Parts: sequence; C-alpha cells; structure tokens
Amino acid sequence: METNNNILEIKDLSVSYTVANVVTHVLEKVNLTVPKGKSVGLVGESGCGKTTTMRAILGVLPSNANIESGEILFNGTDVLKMPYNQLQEFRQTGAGLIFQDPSSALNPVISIKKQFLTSLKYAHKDKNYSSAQLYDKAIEALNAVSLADPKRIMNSFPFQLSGGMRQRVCIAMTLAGEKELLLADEPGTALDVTIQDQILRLIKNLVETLDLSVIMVTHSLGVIRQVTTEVNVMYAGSIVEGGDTHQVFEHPSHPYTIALMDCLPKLTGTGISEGIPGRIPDYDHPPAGCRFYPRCTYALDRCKSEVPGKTIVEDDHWVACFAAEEGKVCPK
Amino acid sequence: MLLFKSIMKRLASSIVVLLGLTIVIFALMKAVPGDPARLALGPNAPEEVLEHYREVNHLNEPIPVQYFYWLSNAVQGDFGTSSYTQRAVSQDIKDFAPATIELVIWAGIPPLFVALFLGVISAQHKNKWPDYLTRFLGYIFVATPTFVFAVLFILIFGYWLPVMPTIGGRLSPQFTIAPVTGMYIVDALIGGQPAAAWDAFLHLLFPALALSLGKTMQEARITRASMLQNADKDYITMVTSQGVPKKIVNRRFLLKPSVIPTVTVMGMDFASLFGNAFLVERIFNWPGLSSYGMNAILNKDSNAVVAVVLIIGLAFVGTSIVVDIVAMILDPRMRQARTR
Ligand SMILES: Nc1ncnc2c1ncn2[C@@H]1O[C@H](COP(=O)(O)OP(=O)(O)OP(=O)(O)O)[C@@H](O)[C@H]1O
Ligand SMILES: [Mg+2]
Repeated sequence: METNNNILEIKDLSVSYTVANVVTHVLEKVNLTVPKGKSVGLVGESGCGKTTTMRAILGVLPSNANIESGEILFNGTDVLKMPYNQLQEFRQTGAGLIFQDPSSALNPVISIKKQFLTSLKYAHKDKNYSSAQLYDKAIEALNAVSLADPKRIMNSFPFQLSGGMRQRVCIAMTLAGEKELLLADEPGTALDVTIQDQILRLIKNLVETLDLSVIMVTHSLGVIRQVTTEVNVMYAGSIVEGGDTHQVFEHPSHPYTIALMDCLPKLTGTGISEGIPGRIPDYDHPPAGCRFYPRCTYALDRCKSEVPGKTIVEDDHWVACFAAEEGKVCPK
Repeated sequence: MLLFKSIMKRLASSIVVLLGLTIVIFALMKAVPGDPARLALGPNAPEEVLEHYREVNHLNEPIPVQYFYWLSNAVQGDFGTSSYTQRAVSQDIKDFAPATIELVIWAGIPPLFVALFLGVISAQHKNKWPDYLTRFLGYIFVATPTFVFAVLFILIFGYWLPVMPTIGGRLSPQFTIAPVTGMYIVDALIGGQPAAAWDAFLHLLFPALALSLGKTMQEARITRASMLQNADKDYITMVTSQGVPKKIVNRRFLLKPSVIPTVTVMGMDFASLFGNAFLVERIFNWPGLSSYGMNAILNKDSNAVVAVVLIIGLAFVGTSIVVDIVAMILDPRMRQARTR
C-alpha cells in the first residue's frame, strides 16, 4: 500500500482517560488507514473506543483525555503536531464529524440557522460566499437529508425539533461543509429504516461522485456491507482484524469477528454485547496480552501475556490473533 | 412574537403575586396585637378621640372592607402617618428610599459584570494564576460576612489609609446637592459639581463593596463552573470540530448557555440586597430605608413597617420579573415553558 494514496493513516494511536485519578487505557495502538475516495468501516461493540478514535482525529477529545502516543497523518501531515492555524484549516476543509448523539450536538439556546451558518462560514472560508449563498447551501443540505420545510427548521431551536430531525440537521451540517474526509459516527441510529437507508445512499453517492472519503462507524454489519469497501473490527480499543470488506465477511479470522457475525440476528436489537458471552475488560486494568483473551474460546497460553501482531490472511485482509496465526481458528 | 407574548404573560401573573403579597402584609398588620388607634394616639388619648380616629380610618368596618380601603390608599402612595416621626410615611419613604436605591444599584449592577468577567477569565485560564487568584479570593470573600467587611473597611480605609470619610453618611457637610433624582452622584453631576460627585462616590464605595463582594465572588464561581461544564459538551465540540475559532466559540456558543444559571442567582442576590443593606446602612451611618425600617420596628410604628415591607416585597417581585424576562431572552426554552 503506497502512503500517498491514503488520505488518513492512524499509526499506533493510544489514548487514555483520567477520571478521579484513575487512568483508563482505552485506545491501545490503534492502526487505521483510509484510502482516498474510499469508504472504510469501523465496527465493534459499545464502549470499544470508536467515538474516541473519531474525536482524536479532529483533536476534539474531552478535556480529561490524554493522547499517550501515536500519529494521525492526514495527507501525510501529523494532525497531532499541527500548529493551531493549520489544525483549524484541517477542521475547516479536511475532515468533518457527524456526531453520534444528535440531541446533545446542537446548542440548546441558539437557533439552527445561526449554528448552521457559522459552521458553514468557516467550512467555506476560502470561497468567500455571501451569507445568502451560505443560506442557500444550508437549505440545499437540509433538503438532501429529506427534511421537509427547511426554512422553518432554520428558524427553529433544537428543542422544537424531533430527535430524528435533529439528527438529520447534524448530518446536513457536516455534509454541507464538503470536507475531504467524512467521519460518520453511527449516522442514523435514531432514524427509521427508510430514512437511514436514504442517508447511507446519499453518503455512498457522495463517495462516488465527489471522491469523498469516509469512515463509517457502526454497530451494524449490514451497514458495513452496504456502504464500505474496507472494514476494521475494533475490540476493546484495538483493531483486531481488517481489510477488504468482502474478504473479511467471507473469511472472518479473528474469534471476535466470528462471534460478531454469529450473533448477527441479535445485532438489530439491543447491540452486540448480549450476543457474545462476557464483556469488554475494564480499561484501568486491561489484560496484559490480547484484550479478547478472557472471552475467547480459542485462547492459547501465550495470548495471556503477549499481544499478537498482524498476520496476513489473504492479499487484502489481516488479523491480529495467535490462534488464527497457527490456523486453529475455524469458523463453524 | 413568542417572546413578547411570554413577557406579557409573565407580567400578568405577577399582578396576582402582588395582590397576594398585599394580602399577606395586611393580614400580618391585623394580626399584631394591640389597638391601632391606641398605638397611634398614645396612652392618654380620650375614648372619643380614639373613636373618631377609628371612624376616619375605617377601623370599625369588616376586615375585607378595611383591606380594600388600605389597598386603595396604598396604591395612591398613602400609608398613613408614622407614629414615630409624626410625618406621612410616604414623605419618610421619599426621603430615605433614594439612599437605599443608590446603594443597591451600585452594589448590585456593576458587580454583575465583574462576576461574569471574573468567571469567564477564570474558566478560560483554568488552573493558571488568574484562575487560582480568583478562586482564592473567592473562598475568602464568600466566607466573610458583610458586616465584617464593613468594619474592616472602616478600620483599613478610614483610619490606616484615610481615603474614606469615616463619619459615614452620604456626603461631607461642606457640599449641598440640588435634589433631582435623589441619587447624589447623579444629581451632583447634573448640577455640575464634580467635587461633590466624587465625595458622594467615596461615601458610597465602601458600603457598596461590603454589600457586594461575597455575592460577586459567589456568582463568579457559578459562572466559572458552568462554563467549564459546558466546554466539554458535544455542541461546543461540534462547532470546534467545524473549525470555528476558539474565540468565536467561546463568545457566541459557550457564554450564552453558561450564564443562564448565573442570571437566576444574580437576580435573587440583587433582590436580597434590599434586606441585607440593613447592617451596612447601620455601620456606615447610611440614611437608607433599611435603617428606617429597623427604627420603625423597634418603635412599633406599624404604618412605617408595612410600607417598608411592601417596598422590599415589590423589589423582590420586580427583580424576579426582570430575571425571568432576561432568562426568556437568553433561553428560548423558557418562552415555551411560560406559554404552556
Ligand atoms: N470523557 C470520558 N471520560 C472517561 N472515560 C470515557 C470518556 N469518554 C469515553 N470514555 C470511555 O472510553 C471507552 C470508549 O468510549 P467510546 O465512546 O469511544 O466508545 P464507542 O465505541 O463509541 O461506544 P458506543 O458504540 O457505545 O458509542 C468507554 O469505556 C468509555 O467509558
Ligand atoms: Mg460511540
């Protein structure tokens, strides 16, 4: 894989949180690559660190978070080392985040119009649009996410909108920024299936027509299959398997991925954690070796103390698992 | 439009509160033991004179009718005669109220801005020296009672560094100011007497500081806490992540939701100044309404007490109306809540 083809490369990113003097090591050496113009999936159960990864990319982690080590290269430049002005420019034109929780992502005491236009003003700073042009752009974006009566929505406050409307406003706001890289943190979880489907198709369409690059964060393997060409499976703060979506789905090689797919029918309901016995380890005392070790049915002795490296499964598909490396994992 | 409607509703509902207030005050006045005619005219007044007093003042009517007479007089500013000063209570109020109003305005309004400013600075420089300094002073000032400040000021700025006129009062005797508003600083400036205005300001400064320091630091602390709490909210992260500069984020998106909780506290603090002014007025020899009210209580001067209590009550109702309107302007959710 040549570097210059990748819009984003995350290398060995480790992030911890400090709560009341307890340090929780959430992200542990995350590696993730997004090729230009491609849509990449990030899947994993609740609490595994997906949102943390997305926020780290834009440098908007909560104030109690700590980046321990790693690089986040955007077109070859490390976001973590950018001076303020360059970071601002990166946020304005480089990457945009669709927030997971739409009810908290809009300012409760400021009108949608003001929030939308301020965001757009900076996203399109270089183009010198007039406010009328920005307004038109906003209306267009609201139309694109199939919100009826966008003018009324612009003049509303968030509490006057339904949850689904708020979510679509957030999506429209981020999409209207027309950044190079879209970070979509579970877009559409509060929406009904048809509208969610419509939004996914909209994003897919943008990837195809505008050469947009996307990281699609989701619980849903169905969404992954529908919109992504590559997928990364995250477990407890590390990527455990990744590669071409098709290949990963055909030959899931990590015991966690296999378990995920086994409980596919249950996924639609309350999430993954019900499907796989056990739960994500405590981040303040994570297992020394493979973090999946306590829940793994294929666990070997060395898994307890050693962290597995990457093993190539097929040309565009890798896994980090000792059992898989030794050929001991066989999907049922 | 919605805002206007909400404000009208708020005003209408406060009329009910005001009526309730007058009923409570009237009831208290009636509940106080003793014959009002006897209290007013003294122990030696003959029975016919007392009877005449009762007749003139409608004291023989049923209580609700008395209330009606009392209220209609009160609305016209007639609270009867003070048994202590032997003047119309309304005249006394006219003389004493401006001093308190002047004090309360200076102790109430500039500190609001100081509190907001300190809170914002403190939050923006979290765990750096401006924050530590504000918090350190905050702890000390919040814990110090008003009268301790008053005594300390007299000691420090009256005797050790004599910048403050120690006799107290509102003005040094060599000045006279033509009354316009009753507020000396303003009146002196209107009358073109800057020296008198400065003298009045020095008289006012320390009582106002004593009254407001603790509250100001308390409000600064609330502002700081709510700014910091909101700074991590998704809606701030959202605009930051869009590349909106930090300054604009703070000014346009963070400040507004953060001051809303402070505004309510500020309003209550402001209203309570009228009551709290008493000790400070005493110590600084400030000829204000609270001192007057205290004298009235000690001398069983019921007409004067009623008038003072009613005025302080009005101040509370008025302030809470202002607070609610400000809150409605800042927070659109309040407009909705009021109209429902
Ligand atoms: N501000 C914070 N302070 C402390 N811990 C946090 C904070 N934010 C997240 N965490 C912890 O980090 C871990 C990962 O959280 P994150 O939000 O990244 O998960 P996620 O994969 O997005 O989950 P979900 O699918 O439920 O959104 C969780 O264990 C969470 O408790
Ligand atoms: Mg999340």
